[in-house]
Amino acid sequence: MWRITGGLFLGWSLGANHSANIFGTAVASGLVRFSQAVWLTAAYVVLGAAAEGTKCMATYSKLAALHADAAFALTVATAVTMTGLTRAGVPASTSQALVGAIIGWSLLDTTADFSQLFKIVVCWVLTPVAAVVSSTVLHRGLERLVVKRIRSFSARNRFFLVGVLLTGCYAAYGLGANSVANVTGVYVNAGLLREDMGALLGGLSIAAGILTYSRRVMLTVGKGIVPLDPFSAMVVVFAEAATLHLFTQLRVPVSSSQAVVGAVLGVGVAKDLKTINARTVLKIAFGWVLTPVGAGALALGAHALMNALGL
Amino acid sequence: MLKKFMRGDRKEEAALTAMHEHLDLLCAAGQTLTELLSAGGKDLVDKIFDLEREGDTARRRVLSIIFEGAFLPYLRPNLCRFVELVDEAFDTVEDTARYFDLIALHPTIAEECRRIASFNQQMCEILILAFELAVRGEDIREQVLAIRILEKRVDDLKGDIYQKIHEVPVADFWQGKFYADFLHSLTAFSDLIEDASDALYVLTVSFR
Repeated sequence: MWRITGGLFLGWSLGANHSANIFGTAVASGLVRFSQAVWLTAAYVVLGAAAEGTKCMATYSKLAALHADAAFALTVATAVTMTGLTRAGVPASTSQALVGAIIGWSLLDTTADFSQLFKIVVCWVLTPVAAVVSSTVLHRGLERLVVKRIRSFSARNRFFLVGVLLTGCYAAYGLGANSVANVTGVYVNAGLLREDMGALLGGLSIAAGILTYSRRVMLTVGKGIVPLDPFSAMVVVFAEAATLHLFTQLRVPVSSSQAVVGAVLGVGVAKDLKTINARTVLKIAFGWVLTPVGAGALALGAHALMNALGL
Repeated sequence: MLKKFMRGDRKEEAALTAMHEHLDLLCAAGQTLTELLSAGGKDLVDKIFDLEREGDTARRRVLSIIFEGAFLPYLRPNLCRFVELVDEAFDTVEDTARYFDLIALHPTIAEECRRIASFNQQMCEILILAFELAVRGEDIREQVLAIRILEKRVDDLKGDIYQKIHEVPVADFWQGKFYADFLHSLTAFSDLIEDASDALYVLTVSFR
C-alpha cells in the first residue's frame, strides 16, 4: 500500500501547479482572496474527482497491464519529468508524461495497446484545438448575447465578478474529474485501489497540493495573465473547463495547461489574429513531443535497471 | 463571499453616487467662479473654498469605497485616476478664486477671463453628462469631442490674453506673480477636465 505514496505525491504537485490555471488571474488581480480561491478550488476538485474521476481511469487500464511496483516507478518517473520540464519552462502535461512513462515501461514486456495510445494522442492534439474553438465561440457568443446587453457599469461589474467565480468553480470541477486518473489511475490499473477509492484519494491529494503549496505558482501565473481584460479572462477559464469536461466524457485525461494556452489563443482569434504568437504555438508542440518522450525514456531506463537488478 | 453576493452591487452604486456628487460640487464651484469673475465678492470666494472642502470629502469617500473592494481590480486604477483629475480641477478653481481675491482684474483682459470661466463651467456640465452616459454603458465620444473643442477655445483665449497682458499695469512683483498664477490656474482647469474626460473614455473602452 505504501506504493500509492508516489501517486499521492504526484497529486499534491499537480494540485500545487495546476490550480494556478483556475483562479490565478482572479487572485493576482485581487478579485478573489487567495484563501477563498484555494478552498473553492479544493472543494470543487474533490467533487469533480468523486463524481466523474473514474471515467478516465479505464483509459490507463486499457493502455498497458501494470503491477504495483510498476505503478510506483511510473508515478515517480512522471513526477521527475514534470519537475525537469517545469524548471525548463516548457508547458508540460502530467497526463502526457504519465502516458509516455507507461508506454516506455511497457515496451520491454510488450503489453502496450497502441490502438489506445492512438486515441490518446489524437485527444492531446485536439485539446488546444478544442480550447481554441470553444474559447472563440464563447467569446463571440457571450459578447453578442450577454455582455453587449448588460450596459450599466455596476451590472456589468457584477456579471464579471460572479462569472469569474462560477467559471472558476466549473474549471476546478473539470480539473478534478479529468486529472485524478493521472494520480491514482495506474494504482487502480495495478489492482491496488478500487476505482471510486482511487478517485477520492487522488482528488484529496490534489486538494492538499492546492491548499498547501499553490500560492507562489498562482501569483506568478496570475500576474502573467493579468493583461487580459476581465471578460477574456473569464472566457479563458470557461473554455478550459468546457474542454476538460468534454475530454472527461471521452474518458481521456488531457492537459489543463494546454487547454488554458489554447483558450488564450482562442481569445486572440476572437479579437484579432495578429495577437497570436507563433512562438507560443511552437512551444506547445514542443511540449507534446518532449513530455511523453522524456517520461517514456525515464520509465524505460527504470524498467531496464529493475530487470537487470532482478527486482 | 456570501455577504458579497448578498450585498450585490451596493458598493459600486455608492462609489458612483459619490463620484457624481464630486462632479456636481465641481460644477457648482465652476458656476460660482463665473459669478465671482463677473460680480466679485468675498462671500463667493468663501463659497468656493467651502465647495472645495466638500469636494475633498467626496473624493475621500469615493477612494475609500473603491479601496474597500468596489469594482473589479482591473478598473480601479482608471477610476481613481478619473477622481484624482476631477479633484485637481477642483484645486485649480480654488486657486483661481484665491488669486482673484488678491488682484484687481484689469478691463483689458476681463472679458477673456470671464469667457474662459464660462467655458470651464460648460465643460463641467458636459463632463457630468459624459459620466452619466458612461455609467449607463452608452457611448461618450460626442461629449469627449465637445470638451476638446471647448478646451481649444480656452487655449485660443489664453493666447489672446498673452497678447494683451503687457498692457496690464503691475504695481510690484507680488501683484505680477498673483496675476500670472491667477491666469495659470484659470486656464489649467480646461486641460484637467479634458484629461478627466479622456480617462473616462478609456474607462468605458476598457469595460466593453
